[in-house]
Amino acid sequence: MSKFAKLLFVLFLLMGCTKPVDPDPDPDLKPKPKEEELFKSPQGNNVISPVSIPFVYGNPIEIIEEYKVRINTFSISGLKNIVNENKINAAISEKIEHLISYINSEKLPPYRGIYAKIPKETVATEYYIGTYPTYNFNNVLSIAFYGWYSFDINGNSEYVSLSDALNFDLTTGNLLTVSDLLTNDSNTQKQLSDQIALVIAKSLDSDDYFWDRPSITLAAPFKGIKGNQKFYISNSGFHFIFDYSNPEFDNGFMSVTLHVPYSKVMPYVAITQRFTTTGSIYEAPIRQAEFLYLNEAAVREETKTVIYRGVNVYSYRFLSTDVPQSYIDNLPDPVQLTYQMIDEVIDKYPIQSAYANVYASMVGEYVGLSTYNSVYSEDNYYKQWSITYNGKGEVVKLSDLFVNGYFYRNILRDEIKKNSGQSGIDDMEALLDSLQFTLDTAGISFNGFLPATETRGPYNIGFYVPYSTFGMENLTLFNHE
Amino acid sequence: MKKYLLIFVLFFLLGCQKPIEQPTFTMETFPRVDGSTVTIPLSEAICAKLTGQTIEQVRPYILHTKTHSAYINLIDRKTDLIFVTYPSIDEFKYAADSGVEMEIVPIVSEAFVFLTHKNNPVESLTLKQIQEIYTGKITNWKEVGGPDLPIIAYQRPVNSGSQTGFLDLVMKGLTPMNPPTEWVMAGMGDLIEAVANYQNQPDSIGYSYYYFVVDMWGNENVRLMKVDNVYPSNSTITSKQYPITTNYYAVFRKSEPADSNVRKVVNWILSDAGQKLAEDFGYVKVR
Repeated sequence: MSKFAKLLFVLFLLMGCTKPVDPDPDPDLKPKPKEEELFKSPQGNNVISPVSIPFVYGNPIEIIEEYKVRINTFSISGLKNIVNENKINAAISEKIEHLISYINSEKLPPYRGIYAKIPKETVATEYYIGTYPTYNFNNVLSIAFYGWYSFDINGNSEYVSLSDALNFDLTTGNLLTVSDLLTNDSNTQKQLSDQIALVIAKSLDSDDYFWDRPSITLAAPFKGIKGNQKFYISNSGFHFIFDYSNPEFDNGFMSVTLHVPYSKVMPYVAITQRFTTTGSIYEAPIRQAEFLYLNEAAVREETKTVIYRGVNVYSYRFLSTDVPQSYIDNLPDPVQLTYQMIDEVIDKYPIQSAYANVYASMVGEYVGLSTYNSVYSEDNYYKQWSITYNGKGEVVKLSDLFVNGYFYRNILRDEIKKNSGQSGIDDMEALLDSLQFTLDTAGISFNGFLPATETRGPYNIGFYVPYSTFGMENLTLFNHE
Repeated sequence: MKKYLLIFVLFFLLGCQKPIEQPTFTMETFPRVDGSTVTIPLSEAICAKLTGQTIEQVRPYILHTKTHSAYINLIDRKTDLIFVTYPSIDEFKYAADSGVEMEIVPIVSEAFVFLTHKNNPVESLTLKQIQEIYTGKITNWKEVGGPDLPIIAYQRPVNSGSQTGFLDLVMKGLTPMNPPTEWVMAGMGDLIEAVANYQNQPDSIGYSYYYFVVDMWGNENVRLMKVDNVYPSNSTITSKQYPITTNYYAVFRKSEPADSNVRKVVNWILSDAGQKLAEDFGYVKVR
């Protein structure tokens, strides 16, 4: 083979077979994580697991609400550091302005297929924009935003809805990221994504609406939350917003919010300790405390219907999975009580239906058990029973809830008067003595009973009193003596 | 010398064959597309690639209205190219009644896969064993070479895409037994029984489409089962060695001219570059 032929051969190999120039300016579209999607280092205090959260203190800031036509917003006041306060209020205003700009469809965020439905020059004919605080404890303020827009397209309406959130460290006015939610020694992305993946798996492909499984459509596999994932906080957990920023979700022109309860990521929840300080950052003293929903809300029993003397008796047992079995075993059988109530009423009035419900749940270390029996005839005839146990398994008496010397009966008397409407209470002290209660995260549910007299039938009352009505300083729940 | 000349000519004729040229479009000239939810990322990637834009730039313009609606839109000439599963009898009939002949081109492969706990020692099942598990004839893992544990065979809700695939590709006319259920909150105070979701326990078996499983979060805890001793992988699905496969298709009206933009797009999807792009976005090559 001559040198020329060899040269020609090599030239052909090197040049003749090269690919034509690719006209694409972005030849590699393969999805890669963007810098802003990476997880940042946690801010604030170094919080290490296991974390215990007996209760949380309400931030003593004022929420100044502002209502305009179609727009609800608010600002805050009460921080000692005015610079931080202004920074927070400016961020809230900026977010609201951003949501207002979406009235013009050209400014709408890049929802999948949005311009195939809503041309760019369209202006919303109806819209509602708003914001509200979702969590305001232990120097953290979490705020949810929403925007709802209706566009008229050739006589048909197209709707767009948006959810957004801002989460502030009130000690600095800085915004939180996902990295701040869990302890410094936890794998935050894994902990939270594992839970989100479970919610998604439960929800996929189901057209039916269930409370514990929002409707989700995936266009691609879920690959975990991002470092800049939108979220807000509530007293029950973290709420992650999935929208156009997470294109694996295909939920039309709306976002979907998925909830990770605290119970699923305890003892790694750091948010209650992340930004606590030794000195107060507020103008006013702290006066409010609450529990968070740290316990399992999942139910472990079912409904059943039985027929007694021709009456359908619906039995419903809502038992949180974390209430110890020993408490469940000692629950009274409410169905028998409902049968008794039917026996008492059925010869006097026709009965439409009857109910026998049992509830068991936990708040903090406290176990609350209650039953609700009712018979629907000419009137709703019902009986309630409730009991609360402390962490040692002891029954909590009403007086145990309050510090020595606090006249809680005065408050309860006022609450009974407020809740009894027009009916006068003929024996207030007996009613006060009859009070039973269960604890909620933010208050106490009371029920009281007076037996029938010659002049009236049996008297039932149920009412709810927020802890703030009594004052944090008067409740032993928040002042262990 | 003759030997070298032969090699030279062979290279010239074969090695230097011109690859399918990448067509270029603007958003105005790119065909109107529609399709199923699962093909959205593919559709967006193709549009971005062929219009020289980013995915984020084209995403607001790409709308898939789901499989059946996409077929109707294609037949009604409201769209020109759809990325979907194979047409149903009803869709074929609607096309015939409308005087439309459809050209159906497989563009990416898909498979139906079975997943179990990573510690389950049973690695492979035959298709017949799977059918017998889901009809309730096989109820214990020891019957298929595993531990003495009852098999918890999870299913998906009746109206889900996965359940349709399960019935068509796996059960093939056999009636599955009643699935495990759980109590869920369905409304104000209402507890109702619903199809339980797969729980990753050593006694569990569940199923899904490969596309949604292979790259999903948390898949390190589950193991895909071999079927008829073939592990589901990109290569065994492309080669159809894995026995439970299907495709996603590009479907368009047969009347599209030979040099139409629709045909240019479809030809490019089938090119090496098109198939590479599909693979980059998590799909399995069709060839």
